[in-house]
Amino acid sequence: MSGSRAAVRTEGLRKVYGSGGTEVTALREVNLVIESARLTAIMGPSGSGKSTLMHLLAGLDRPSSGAVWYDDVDITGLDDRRLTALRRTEIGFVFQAFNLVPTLTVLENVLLPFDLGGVTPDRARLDWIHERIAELGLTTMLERRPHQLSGGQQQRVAIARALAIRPRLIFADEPTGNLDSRTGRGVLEMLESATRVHDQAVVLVTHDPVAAAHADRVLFISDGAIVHDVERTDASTLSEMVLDLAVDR
Amino acid sequence: MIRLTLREFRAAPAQHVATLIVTTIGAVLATIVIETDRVLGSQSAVGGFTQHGFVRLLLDVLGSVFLFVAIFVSCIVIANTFGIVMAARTRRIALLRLLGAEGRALRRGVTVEGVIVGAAGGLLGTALGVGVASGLVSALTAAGTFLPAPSPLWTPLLVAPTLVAIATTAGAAWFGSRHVAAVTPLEATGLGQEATLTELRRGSRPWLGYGCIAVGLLLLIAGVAIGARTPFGLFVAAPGGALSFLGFVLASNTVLPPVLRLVGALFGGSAPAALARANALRHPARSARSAVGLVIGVTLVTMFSVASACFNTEAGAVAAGAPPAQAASDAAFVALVLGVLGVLIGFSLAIAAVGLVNSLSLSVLQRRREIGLLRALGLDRRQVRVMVLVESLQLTIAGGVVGLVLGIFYGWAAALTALSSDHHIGGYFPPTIPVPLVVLVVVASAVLAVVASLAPTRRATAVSPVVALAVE
Ligand SMILES: Nc1ncnc2c1ncn2[C@@H]1O[C@H](COP(=O)(O)OP(=O)(O)OP(=O)(O)O)[C@@H](O)[C@H]1O
Ligand SMILES: [Mg+2]
Repeated sequence: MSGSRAAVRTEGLRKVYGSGGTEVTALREVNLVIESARLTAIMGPSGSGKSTLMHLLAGLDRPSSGAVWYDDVDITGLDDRRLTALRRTEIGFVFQAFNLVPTLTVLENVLLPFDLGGVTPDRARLDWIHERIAELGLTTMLERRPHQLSGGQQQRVAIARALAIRPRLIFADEPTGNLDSRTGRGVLEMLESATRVHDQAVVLVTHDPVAAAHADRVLFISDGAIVHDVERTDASTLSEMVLDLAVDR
Repeated sequence: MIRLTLREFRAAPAQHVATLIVTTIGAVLATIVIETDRVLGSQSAVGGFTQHGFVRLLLDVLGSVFLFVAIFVSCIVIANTFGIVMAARTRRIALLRLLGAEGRALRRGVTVEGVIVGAAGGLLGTALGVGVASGLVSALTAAGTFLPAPSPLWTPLLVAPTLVAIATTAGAAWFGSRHVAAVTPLEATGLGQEATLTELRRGSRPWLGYGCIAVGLLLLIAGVAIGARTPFGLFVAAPGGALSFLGFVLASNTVLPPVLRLVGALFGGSAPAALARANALRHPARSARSAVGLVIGVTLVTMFSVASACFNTEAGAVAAGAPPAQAASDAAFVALVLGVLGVLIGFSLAIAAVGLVNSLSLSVLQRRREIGLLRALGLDRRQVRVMVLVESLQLTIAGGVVGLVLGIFYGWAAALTALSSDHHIGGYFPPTIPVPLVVLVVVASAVLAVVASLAPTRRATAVSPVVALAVE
């Protein structure tokens, strides 16, 4: 396994919202390496800074200080154009809801990042994408629109879209939040297999210890700082750690 | 990219209906102005109406001026419509940005939507306009007013309405979608809360407007002062009046909201009224733009009737000295010009009304979730109806009242400038306010408010409380 290659690296990452009397420090001095070909889960109480961290890692927001390195490029210094291109080519996103463009069909949604970049995927890439679509069990739904799909199916379309561009990183914020436990497990297994088969890094933000148990590594954030960093472990251990955190506070 | 644009039409054609109607009305007016000039031209060629060269010139000038006004009002309405439509799409735009779409590219796509709607409206309006014009010509020829003259339906100039419609709509769409480039991809990641388009948080530079008002008013006052000596003061007063009014329109974002607030206070403190007040002021710029078209129309109508009423009361004494036949003919001519003006202003008023109805409908459509929540929390259907109606009344009454005040002011200034130098009158006189007009404006505003609220009310009361619970 090439587990030690860094997909993204942070250095002294700080984020402060607001100013003056209403300042909120959402992240304090986070130093972190997210490795390729691994699924990294981020857990922590509500308001601890999980989403903030994810936004900074994906270049969606700018830190108050610190750096986010993709190879030897600090993306906190990139302009909007370059960040946009970065998202289009290097990053895939899967969210809890509103993942898909309602006016487009399933296939069009999957191919959307190419469309937005003005590139046509070649034959080989299309075949590859259709294999992923088949693995995700979406082959019969390609012409449907998002509202004609169940929540789990929509989630799988979002995963297909994220895989299609073969990004270096996939971010998933509570991707199973709206799903029943069985469908949720299916979605998690697909994210897991993305790391093994396609060598991608997956960052999974979740409250659910069962979901985090699919991860190779689990980070715990509390009050803007990483307080635990553990290798793969089972759900009951994780939920005890969550409870400990909640009690600590 | 172009696929996304086309899909917008398939997914929600209704969002562009108002723009289509507005461009169609504008193109009808433009076509009629072109056809009128052409028909009068061919009539004088066959020997009729030769002595009416002046009438032709007058109609051309009036037609062009009010065509310009109609285009101006259309721009405001279309830009507003696109602004609202974009606000409704914020979530989707943010998602596209997240997936790597360039903000500018998205905005270009929206402008393409504008071009398509503009082209459709332009062609439709030209066809309608030619139809109306040729119908009128055959009717007038049959009645003997016109001599039979060869009048081909087509002239190359008829491309103009469509081109103008496309340019107007594209420009207004580009302007109306200016916030699209500012939507951050972050807005796609949030969950639950309604997406908000950052309206008025930036932009809105009223200073240009204030500047125009100040300079315009100075010119207007100077013109009125010169008018005490010679009616040529009109050449100073008219540009001054136009400039100050333009300034008012530019600054309407900051001028109208206080009026809206004041009018809103009339409706008391019941829950639906309070909600309606908050809604109308939630996007002050948007509400102002919804009402400003109405202000323009009402101001123009009022200005011309006040000016002519002043003319009648003040110049009536003079006319008493003139031979009755001459006086009657003058009166008939004034009536004709007023009639033509009425029709011309009517186009702008119609466009303004469409804009008002549309922005109210869209704002209700966008609040489906919120209305669902209110229903779940216990607002009943009747209260929902009251809420929408009050919101609508607030806009039309504010627009009507401001239009009346401005119109009386400008009409009076025009009459003072034109008439006060007349030695029979000699100096200052108070404005004559035609009471029927005031009543008409108030009643029409109320009717417009009710009509405008019909469709949105139906939509709003149909919202089930379940909507509030649904994801997406
Ligand atoms: N735009 C913002 N402006 C001000 N404060 C913010 C903003 N976004 C987040 N915060 C604050 O930053 C802190 C971290 O928020 P964040 O959204 O990262 O938490 P989270 O761990 O994702 O929580 P949850 O599990 O509830 O999603 C919180 O205290 C929050 O109130
Ligand atoms: Mg969060």
